[in-house]
Amino acid sequence: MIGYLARRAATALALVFLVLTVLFFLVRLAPGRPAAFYDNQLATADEQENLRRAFGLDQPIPIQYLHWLESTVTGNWGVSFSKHRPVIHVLAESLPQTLLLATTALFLQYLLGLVLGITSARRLGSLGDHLIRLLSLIVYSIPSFWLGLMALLLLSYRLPFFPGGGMNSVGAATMSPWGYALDLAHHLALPAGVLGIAAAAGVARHVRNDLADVLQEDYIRTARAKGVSEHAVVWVHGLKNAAASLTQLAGLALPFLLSGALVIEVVFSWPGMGRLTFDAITARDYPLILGATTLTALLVVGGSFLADVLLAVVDPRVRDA
Amino acid sequence: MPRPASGGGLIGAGAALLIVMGVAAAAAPLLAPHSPVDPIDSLGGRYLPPGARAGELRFDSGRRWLVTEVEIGSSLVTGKRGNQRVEAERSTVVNLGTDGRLETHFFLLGTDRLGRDCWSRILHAGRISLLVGVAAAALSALLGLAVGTVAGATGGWIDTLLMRITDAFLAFPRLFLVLAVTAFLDAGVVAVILVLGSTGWMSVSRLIRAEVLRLSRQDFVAAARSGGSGELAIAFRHLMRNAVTPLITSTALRVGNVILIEASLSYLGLGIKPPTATWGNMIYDGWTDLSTAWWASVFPGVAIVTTVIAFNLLADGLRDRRQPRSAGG
Repeated sequence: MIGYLARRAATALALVFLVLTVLFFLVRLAPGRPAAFYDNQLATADEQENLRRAFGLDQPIPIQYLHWLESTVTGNWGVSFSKHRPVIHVLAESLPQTLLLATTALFLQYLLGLVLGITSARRLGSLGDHLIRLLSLIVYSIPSFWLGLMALLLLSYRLPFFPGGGMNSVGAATMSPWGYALDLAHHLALPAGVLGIAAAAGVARHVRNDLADVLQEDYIRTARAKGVSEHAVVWVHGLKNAAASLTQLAGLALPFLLSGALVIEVVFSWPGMGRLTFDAITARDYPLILGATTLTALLVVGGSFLADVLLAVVDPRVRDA
Repeated sequence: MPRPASGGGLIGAGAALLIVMGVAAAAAPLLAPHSPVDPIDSLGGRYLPPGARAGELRFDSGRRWLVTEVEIGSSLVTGKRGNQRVEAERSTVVNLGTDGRLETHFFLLGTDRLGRDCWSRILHAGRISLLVGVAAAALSALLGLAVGTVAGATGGWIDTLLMRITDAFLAFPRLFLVLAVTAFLDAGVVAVILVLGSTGWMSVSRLIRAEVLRLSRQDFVAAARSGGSGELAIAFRHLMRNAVTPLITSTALRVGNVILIEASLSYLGLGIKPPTATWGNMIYDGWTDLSTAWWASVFPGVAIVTTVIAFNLLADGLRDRRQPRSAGG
C-alpha cells in the first residue's frame, strides 16, 4: 500500500512539473505571446524595454523557464493587473466558493448518476432503461451554460422560486448563522443543481454499463443461486465490484466540473474562480489568467491523486500490485 | 443470455438527423428567408416574437422601416415601429402596390436585438458550427493517431515521454486550456478550429495506443513481424485498419464535444466574433435580454442540443455494435 501510494505521489509530482512546462510553452508559443501584451502602442520604445526587463521578458527562454518554475513553486505568482493585488491572494479568496459549488455538484452528480444507473442496469432493455438512456443522452448533449440559462428563465424569472444570481442576499452580513446558511443554500441550489445534473448523465451511463457487465459475472450467478436477495446482489456484490471504475471516474469528473463551473459561475454571477477567470480574460489580466489556469491544473492533478488513494482503499488488487 | 449486436437504430436515427442538418447548413443561403447579417430595420425589427409578421415600408430616400399595426390612409401611412407610433407621407413610400397592399415579412423564430431574423441566422450559424466541429475533431483524430501509433509501436522511452505529455495536457480542464490560448487571440474560424483541434487529441492518442498494443500481441502481427516488416510500417499497415472503428466512434463523440466547447467559448464572448453568426454567439448576444426576449437565446440552444444529440446517437450506436454486452435491447 505504502509503495503504491509513493509511486502515485511521485507520478503526480512529475505531472505537476510537466503541467507547468506545457503551460509555459503554450503561453510563449501562442500568437499573442505575453510580450505582445507589454508592447503597448502608447509606450515609448524605452518604456517598452523597461517593462520587458521588469517582467524578465528580455532574458533567454531557458532562463525565463527556470524563473517561471521557481516563482510558481514559491507561490510568487505575480500581481494582478486589474485587482492590483498578488494573484495568489485573489485566487485564494475565490477558491472556497468554487470548491463549495463543485463539491455540492459532485455529490448531486453521484447521487443522481448512481440511482439512475442502477435502475437502468437492473432491467437492461426495459422501458425504464431506454427512457433513462435517452434522458442521459439528451442531458449529455446540452451545453451546461444553456441549461443554466433555461433554469434561470423558468425557475427565477418566470416562476420566482430562486434568486437570479450571486451568492448572498443583500443584508446577508447581518443575518443569524442559520439564516445565512439557508440564504446561501437558496443561492447555491440552481447553479449546483444545473452543474450536478449536467454531469450526472455521464455517471449514469458509466454505472449502467459497468454494473451490467459485473452482473453477468459468475460470482453474481453463484450469489443468486445461493438465494441472496436481488437487492443485496446489486448493492453489495454488484456495486462493490463496480466501485473501482467509479472511483477512477471521480478523478476524471473534476476537470469536467471545473470547466462547467467556469461557465455556470458566469451565468449565475457566482463569485468563484471561474467568474474570476472570465473577468481576468475580459480585462486581459495576464498574470491572473495564468495563475487561475495553473491552479486549476494543480487541482486536477491533486484530485486524480486523491482518486488513486481512494482506489487503493476500495480495490485490494490495486494496492497489492 | 447473449444479446444480439445492436446499434443499427441509433446509427440510423443519428445519421438521418445529421443528413437533415448537413443539408440545411449547406443550403442555408437558399433556405434562409433573410440576411443573417444585415437587418431590414434594426429599430422596427428589434425583438419581434416568434411567428411575427411585419410590414416593410421602403422610402424614396432608400430607407426601410419594419412596422406593425399598419393603417394605410389616402395620404398618410401610420403604424408602430418598435415602441414608437410612426406616420409617413403615402407618396414617399415606394413599395406600395397599386392595390395599396404592403410587402410583409414573416419571422418564424422571431428576431434578435438588432432586428435580424433568428431562423436565417440559425441556418447560417449551422455552417460554422458544423465546420468547426468536424474540422477540429478531424484534426484531433489525426494528431491523436500520430502520437498514439508512434507511442504504441515504438515503446520504450519515447512511449513513456509521449504518454506523460498526454497526461500533462489532460490535467487541464479543456475549457481552461482553450481559454488560456484564445485569451490572447482575435479568434477567427481557422484559429478556433486550430485551438480546439490541438487541445482534443489526448484521449484519441490513448485509445489508439491501447489498440496498437492490443493488436500487436495478436498472431497476424507476429506473422508480419517475422516476415521482416518494420515496427512503424506494421503499425500503419496492419494495425490502423483494425483501429478504424473505435477511431470513428470517438471522433463522432468529439464532434459533439467540440460544438459544445465552441458554444461555451462564444458564450463567454471569446469565440468567433460577430457579425458572423454562431449558435454560441447568438446565445451570448441574447442572454442579457433573456427575461423579455427568450427566443433569441432559446432557439440557438435547441439547434446545438439537436446537433450534439445526433452525433452522440451515432457514437452510441457504433459503440453498441462493438460492445454488444452492455447495449441492452
